[in-house]
Amino acid sequence: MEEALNLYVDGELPLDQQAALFGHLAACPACRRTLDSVLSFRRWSRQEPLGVPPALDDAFFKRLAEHKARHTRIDRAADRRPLWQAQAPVTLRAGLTIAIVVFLLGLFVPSNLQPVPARFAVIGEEELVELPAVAASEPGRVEPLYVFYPGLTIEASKTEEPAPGESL
Amino acid sequence: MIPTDDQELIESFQAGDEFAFVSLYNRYKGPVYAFCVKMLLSRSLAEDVVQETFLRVYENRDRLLNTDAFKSWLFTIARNQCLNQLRRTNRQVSLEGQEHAEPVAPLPEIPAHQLEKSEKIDLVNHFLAQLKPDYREVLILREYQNLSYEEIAAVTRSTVSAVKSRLFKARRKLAGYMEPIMNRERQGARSPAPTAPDAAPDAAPVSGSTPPPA
Ligand SMILES: [Zn+2]
Repeated sequence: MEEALNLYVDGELPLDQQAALFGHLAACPACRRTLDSVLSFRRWSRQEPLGVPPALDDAFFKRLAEHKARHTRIDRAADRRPLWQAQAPVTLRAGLTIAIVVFLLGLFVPSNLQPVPARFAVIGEEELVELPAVAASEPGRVEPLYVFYPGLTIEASKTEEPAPGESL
Repeated sequence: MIPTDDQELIESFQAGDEFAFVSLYNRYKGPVYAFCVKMLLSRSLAEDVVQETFLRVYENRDRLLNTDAFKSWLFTIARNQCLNQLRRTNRQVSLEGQEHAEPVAPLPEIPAHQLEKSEKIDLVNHFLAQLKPDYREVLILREYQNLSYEEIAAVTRSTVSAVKSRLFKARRKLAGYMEPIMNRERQGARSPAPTAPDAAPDAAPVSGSTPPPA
C-alpha cells in the first residue's frame, strides 16, 4: 500500500485503484499517519518564501560580463590556431628527431647501467610524449626501442640503421 | 510541458540572442534558487551555486540538443553543482572534526497545528537536513519543483523505478521524523511529555487523517 499511497500523493494513482487505497486508509492508522505527515510536510514546505534576492541578479550579471570578456579573449586565441596547425609537421619532425637521438644514445649506453627512468619530452606547445626508458636488461645487448607518437610508431632494433632520409 | 515560447527562447539563445538568455534566466532563477537553497540549506551557498549553474548554461548552450529537455538539463547542472558544494562542505566539516554541519535543533513541544509559520519552516529544514542528499534531492525535486518521476530520473541520471524507490523511502523517513510532532497533534496540547508513539488513539477524530478529495 505504500506505493499506492505515494502514487496518490503524486497524483499518479489511476482512478480505479483509489477506492482500494481509501478502503485501506480507513482501516490502517499507520498509513493514515504517513499520509498526514507527507501532506503536512508539503503544506509547510510551501510556507517559506524563497524569492531570489536582487543582489543575486546583480552578482550574476557581473560575473556573466566578466565571463564574456574572458571568452572573447579565448576566441581571439582560437583565431590564431591555424598558425599552430601550420607548425604541426615541424612538431612531428621534432618528435622523430628526438626519437632517433634517444635511439642513438641507447646504442652507446654501456650495457651494465641501471635502467634509465622514463623521460618526458615536451613536443609542440601542448603535447607531452612519454619516451620509454632505454632498458639494458642483458649485458651486451640493447633492447629494441619503441617510440609511440600519435599516429606514428617507430620500431627500432640494434641491427637497423636510422632511416637515412630522416636526418636532422 | 514547456510553453512554446520557452522553446523559442532556447532556440534564440542558442542562436546567440543574449536577451533570450536573460529571459530564460529570469524565468528559471526562482526554481533553481529554491532547489539550491533546499539542497544546501544555506542561502549564501545557494546564491553562489545558482550563478555557477547559469554560467554553465550560458557556456554550454551548444550541448543542449533537445530544447524540450531544457528544464531537466538546467536542474541537472544545478544538482551537480549542489552535490559538489556539499562534498566541499563535508570535507571542511570533517576537517573541523564535527559530525553535523548544522546543530540539530530540538523539536518544539507543541502540537503541529499550533506551530507558528516560522516554526514550521524551521522544522522542514530540520527534516531535510537529516535526509541523505540522494533522498533529499528527489524529495525537493518532487515537492518544491513539482517535477515528474521521468524528469527527476533525467535530472538525477537514474531510472523511474529507482526514483520512485528513493522518493518513497525518503517519505517514509520523513514520516518517521515527523511522527512525534504529528502525535502531539493527535493528542492535543495537553501532553508534551514523550509517550509511546502507538498510544495515540486511532479512533480520535483528526482532520488531517482523512484522505483529501482526489
Ligand atoms: Zn497501511
